[in-house]
Amino acid sequence: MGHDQTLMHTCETAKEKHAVTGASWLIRISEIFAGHESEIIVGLGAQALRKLGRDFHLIRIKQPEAIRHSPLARYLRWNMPVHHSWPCNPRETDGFIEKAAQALLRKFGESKAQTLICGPIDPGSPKRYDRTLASNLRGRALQLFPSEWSAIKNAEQQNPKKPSLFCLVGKEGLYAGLQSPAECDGFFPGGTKFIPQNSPDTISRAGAKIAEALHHLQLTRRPPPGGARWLEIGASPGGMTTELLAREYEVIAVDRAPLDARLKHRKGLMQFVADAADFMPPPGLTFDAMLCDMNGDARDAMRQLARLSKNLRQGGLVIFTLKLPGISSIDETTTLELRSK
Amino acid sequence: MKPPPSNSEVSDIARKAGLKKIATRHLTYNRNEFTMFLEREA
Ligand SMILES: C[S@@+](CC[C@H](N)C(=O)[O-])C[C@H]1O[C@@H](n2cnc3c(N)ncnc32)[C@H](O)[C@@H]1O
Repeated sequence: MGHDQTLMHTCETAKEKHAVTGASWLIRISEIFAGHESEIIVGLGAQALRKLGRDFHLIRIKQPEAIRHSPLARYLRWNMPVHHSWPCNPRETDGFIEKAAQALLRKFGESKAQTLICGPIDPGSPKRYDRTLASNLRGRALQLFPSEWSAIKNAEQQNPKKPSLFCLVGKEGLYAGLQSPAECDGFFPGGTKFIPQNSPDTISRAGAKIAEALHHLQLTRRPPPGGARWLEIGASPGGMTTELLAREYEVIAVDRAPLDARLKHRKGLMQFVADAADFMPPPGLTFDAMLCDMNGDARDAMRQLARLSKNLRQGGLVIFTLKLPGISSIDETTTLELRSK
Repeated sequence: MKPPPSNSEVSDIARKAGLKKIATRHLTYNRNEFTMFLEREA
């Protein structure tokens, strides 16, 4: 066994050693579900081993398929099998980057991965060392790996269906696994694509939600092509509308409130100031996609989408923000859904 | 006041209209809400 292999496991706790048999997995549960993590982990039939950073959890799971197929999957932001780990504090480890890169090469150099993507366990860390560790490690490791691994310059160029080597690093150490972006549920380690929200011309922060949704969608299907026509209900003030127009989509925007004045006369935009329940699409008009970010009761919002979907073409996409009055509804939403199966 | 909606009730309304759920996710920029992806059945 090589030097790093020995190092790798020296820090395993007794709890990890005696955990139920099963695969070692890293999952990310958004901080908004804090307080519900154990419920989610137990519900997946898994055992919590250790929390990493603010929202990653190292778990041991008997049936990893549950991560994708359980109704609890919606509480997971990202997941990855842990095929290699080196729990250590990189900052206090001599030559961490070199040793880590060499270990990755030994273990995964012959694998069929399309590339190596590294990310921080704590993306919010104010320390420069933590922020640059992931990119420094990727840089060094790619010098060692076959040159094809370097062809992917940006995470979104990955084939969502082919395995990549994902690697998370932080003050807790290094965790790496081979899995496709689609199975991980994100192109980036941890799933987050950074989307700026605070530029002075941002109409509303909701724009980031549709930008992220369209990014995430690429894991499962192609987004509608440019020129596609969207019906958007609950559009005001227009953060999402702006994002759709920026992608050269046509938008029919409906809201009781008007859109921000900056959107007036924008090419490709038709605005209806009306209650969604009273909106009748102009005769013969069909949509390629629909978007709903209406607040109020989610059932009423979905009823309006359902009614208007008669004008949605077959195979057309719908993106719906399902507003929940409180996150306390975790148990309720999940149990109800399980019962209705 | 109406009881809060559950995911399954909302999904049922969609399914009856021929809208098939692709995924429900809590993405980075979601707060007290999920993003649901659906597709109109062929
Ligand atoms: C969260 S805001 C939408 C933000 C918007 N998507 C953006 O990107 O700026 C919710 C919107 O839903 C609208 N709304 C709620 N119920 C509605 C209804 N029954 N008919 C039309 N609009 C409605 C509200 O007027 C409000 O503008």
